[in-house]
Amino acid sequence: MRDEQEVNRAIERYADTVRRLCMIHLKNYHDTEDIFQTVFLKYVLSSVVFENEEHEKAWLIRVTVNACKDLLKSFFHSRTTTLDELITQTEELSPEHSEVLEAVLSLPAKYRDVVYLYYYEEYSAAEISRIIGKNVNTVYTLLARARKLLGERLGGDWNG
Amino acid sequence: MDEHRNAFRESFEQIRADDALKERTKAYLSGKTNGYRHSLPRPYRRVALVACLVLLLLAGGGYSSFFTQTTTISVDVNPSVELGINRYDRVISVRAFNEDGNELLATKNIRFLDYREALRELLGAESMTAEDALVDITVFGTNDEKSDEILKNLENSTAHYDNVHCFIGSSEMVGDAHSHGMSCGKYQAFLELQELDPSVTPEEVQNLTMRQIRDRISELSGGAEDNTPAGSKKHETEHNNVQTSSTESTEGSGGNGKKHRYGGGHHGGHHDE
Repeated sequence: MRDEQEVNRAIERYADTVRRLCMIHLKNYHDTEDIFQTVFLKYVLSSVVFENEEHEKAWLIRVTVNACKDLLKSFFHSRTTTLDELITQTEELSPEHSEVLEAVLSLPAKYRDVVYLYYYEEYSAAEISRIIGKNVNTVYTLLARARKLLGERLGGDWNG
Repeated sequence: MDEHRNAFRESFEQIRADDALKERTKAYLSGKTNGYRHSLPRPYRRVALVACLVLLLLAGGGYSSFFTQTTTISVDVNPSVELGINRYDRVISVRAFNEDGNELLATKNIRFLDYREALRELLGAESMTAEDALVDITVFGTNDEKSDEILKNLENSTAHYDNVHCFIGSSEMVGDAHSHGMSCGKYQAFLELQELDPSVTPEEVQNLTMRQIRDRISELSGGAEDNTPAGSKKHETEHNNVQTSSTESTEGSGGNGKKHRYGGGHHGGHHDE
C-alpha cells in the first residue's frame, strides 16, 4: 500500500486529468465521485512501481477509462447515457468552450478518449495505443474519423 | 488548425477537479485503509469480525440471536436466490433455487456481509447483468417494521436503476414456495401470473426469467381486449373472478399480504394500490 503523502500528491497532480476523463464519459457528479474513489483506491493498493511520472500518468488514465466503462456497464447503473445529460455539465462555461466540449461529447464514446488524449494531453497515436490498449492502426482510424466529425461540427481544418 | 487545437486546450482547461472533490476522495481513502495502516486482508477481517461478534454474543448469551433469521431477501433475475438476514442486518444463510442461482452463490461469498453489500456483490455478477434483465427483490419477514426498513434501504440504493423492482412479500407463502422448489420472489410472481392464466403451473414458471414472467403478466393484463375472438369474453370474466378471489385470500391470510410495487411502468395496469 502506498503511503498517504504519495497518494495525496498523486491526487493533487492527476485529479484534473481524471476529472476531464470523467466528464467525457459520465453523466453526473455522483458517478464522477464514484470513479475518483475507485481509481485512487486502486492507486493506493496497487503494487506497480512507476518508472517515472509519465508511466504513472498513463497508468492512471488507463485505470480511469476502464473504470468509467465498468461503471456504465455495471448492474447498478442505468443503461443509457444521453447526450443531453452529458451536455448539462458544460452549461456553466463560455459559449466557445461549451461548443468545443459539446462537439467532443457528441462523438461516439470510443472516439472521445482518443480525441482528448491526442489534442489535449498531446500523446502520440502510438502512446495512446499503449495507454488504452488498442492497436495503433485502430487509433489512427479513430482519430481520422473523429477529425472528420469534429470538422463537420465545428468547421475548419482539424488535420494534425 | 492551430486555433482549433488552442480552442480545444482552453476548453478542457476549464474542466477542473474542485478542492471539495479532492478532499472527499482523500478522506474516503483514509477511511478505507484505516488511516493508511497495514491491516488484515479483507477476507480475514470479515472472519475476525464475525469471531468477535460471536464471542461477544456467546459471552452475553446472545448466540442464538445472531443466527436467528428475521428476514428473507429473495433475489430473482434468472438466478433465483434467497438470503437469510438476521437482526443485525447480516446475511446468515444463502439458498439457491436453480442452476444459475447455484453458480452465482458458488462464485460470490456473501455470508456475514451486510445485506446491502451482499446485494451489491450479487448484482455485480455477469449472470445478473444480461441485456434485458429484470431484477425482482422481494423482502419477507416476521417483523413488519424491519421488512419495511430493509425495503426502504433497498429502494434507495436501487432508486435510479430502471430494471430493479423491490417488493414486500407475504411470509405466509414461504412454505408453499419452497415446497415447489421456488424462491419466494418467484413464487409471488407465479401467483400473479396464475391469477391471469389459471392454467400455468409452477414447473413452467420455474424455468422462466423474471423478465419473461413479467412480460407474460403485462401481456395478459394489458392486452386482455386483444385476445382471440373465441376466448376474449371468457378470459375477461375469468380474470375478474380470479382477481376477486385472490384479493379475498390475501386479506384473509393474516394481514401480512401487502404488496408494495416500485417502478415498472410496463406492468402498472395490474394490482393498482
